Amino acid sequence: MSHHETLPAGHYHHLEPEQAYHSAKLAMWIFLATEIHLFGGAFCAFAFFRWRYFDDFNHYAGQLNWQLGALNTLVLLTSSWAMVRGVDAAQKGLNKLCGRWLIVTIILAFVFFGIKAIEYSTKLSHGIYPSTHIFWGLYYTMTGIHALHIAVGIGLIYWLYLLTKKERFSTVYYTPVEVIGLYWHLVDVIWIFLFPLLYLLGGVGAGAHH
Amino acid sequence: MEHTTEWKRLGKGDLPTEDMDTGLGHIVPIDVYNKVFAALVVLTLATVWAATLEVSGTAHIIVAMFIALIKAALVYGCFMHLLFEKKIIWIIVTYPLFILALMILGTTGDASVKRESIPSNVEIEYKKGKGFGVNDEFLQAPDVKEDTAHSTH
Repeated sequence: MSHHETLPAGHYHHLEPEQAYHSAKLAMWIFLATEIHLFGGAFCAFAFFRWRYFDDFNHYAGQLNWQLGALNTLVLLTSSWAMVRGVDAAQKGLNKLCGRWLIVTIILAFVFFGIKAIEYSTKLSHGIYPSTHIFWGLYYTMTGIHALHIAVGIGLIYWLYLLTKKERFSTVYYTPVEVIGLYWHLVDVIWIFLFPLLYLLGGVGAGAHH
Repeated sequence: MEHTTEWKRLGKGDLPTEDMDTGLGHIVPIDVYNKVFAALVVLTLATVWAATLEVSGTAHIIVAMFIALIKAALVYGCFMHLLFEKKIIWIIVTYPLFILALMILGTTGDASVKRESIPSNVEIEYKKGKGFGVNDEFLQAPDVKEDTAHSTH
């Protein structure tokens, strides 16, 4: 049963498997740190203008459809959960199960896109553009960069799905699934902050300040 | 590297258990993932509910950001396996967050100071009958100040 293995398929030849795994993960965490800085710049701009035009922001935030925003938050959270279930399946070497969870993740990502497209088109048809007010400038920029990350994520996860079809993952090699999972969860975390900042802070329903 | 690792290829159907050390990542019980997911959904509903409360705008921000931080911690800790990571990963995670916190505090402080000084200029511009667009109000303010210095003499 147990025997000496040569390097599991997919790992770099000059690294031990365990070392390769930890190196790849370290690299992704460093990349995620740069992502924090990327979005951090936008969040800083948001913080500045949020305080600067406090009432304006409350007013315009009230014009966003918070129900759709909340729905999209749940969609993205569910996709994150599907992703982690996929990682779990990959860790156990269950390629088929992993593939199924990855497809669920991708479908939910497209649902997110669909809802976002409805929101964008509604706003644009009402003549609300990025230049309308700094609130909308930040709204379109931040959600736009976020959506770009979703698009990249869909491509990466689909690539993982193709690898599961080839039975590439095993208990000793599932690095790509875990590492892209990290990326996907970060995109989810960004949205966790974008949702209340953009949609809710004007207050909704009885608590609305406009 | 001095040591050599013996790799055991597990046969199909052999599942590693939680405490099995493959030398790779930590395996979290599925039950934990499901519970964390449920908690994230509940917290999302909580943040929407909190937004309906009749409190000040600043209170809204504090409550919403507090809930968002808990949600982010759950995703980082459990879904991203940070709780089982080495110190070096923790350092890489906390460093940009620390810098971001500094930057946000700085810009927020800056905004609150400028808020004190600018409205008067805007008021002057408004009184002069120019009107003002919300967009360029901030950028135009310094010029307006020079203008009024002229006109008052």
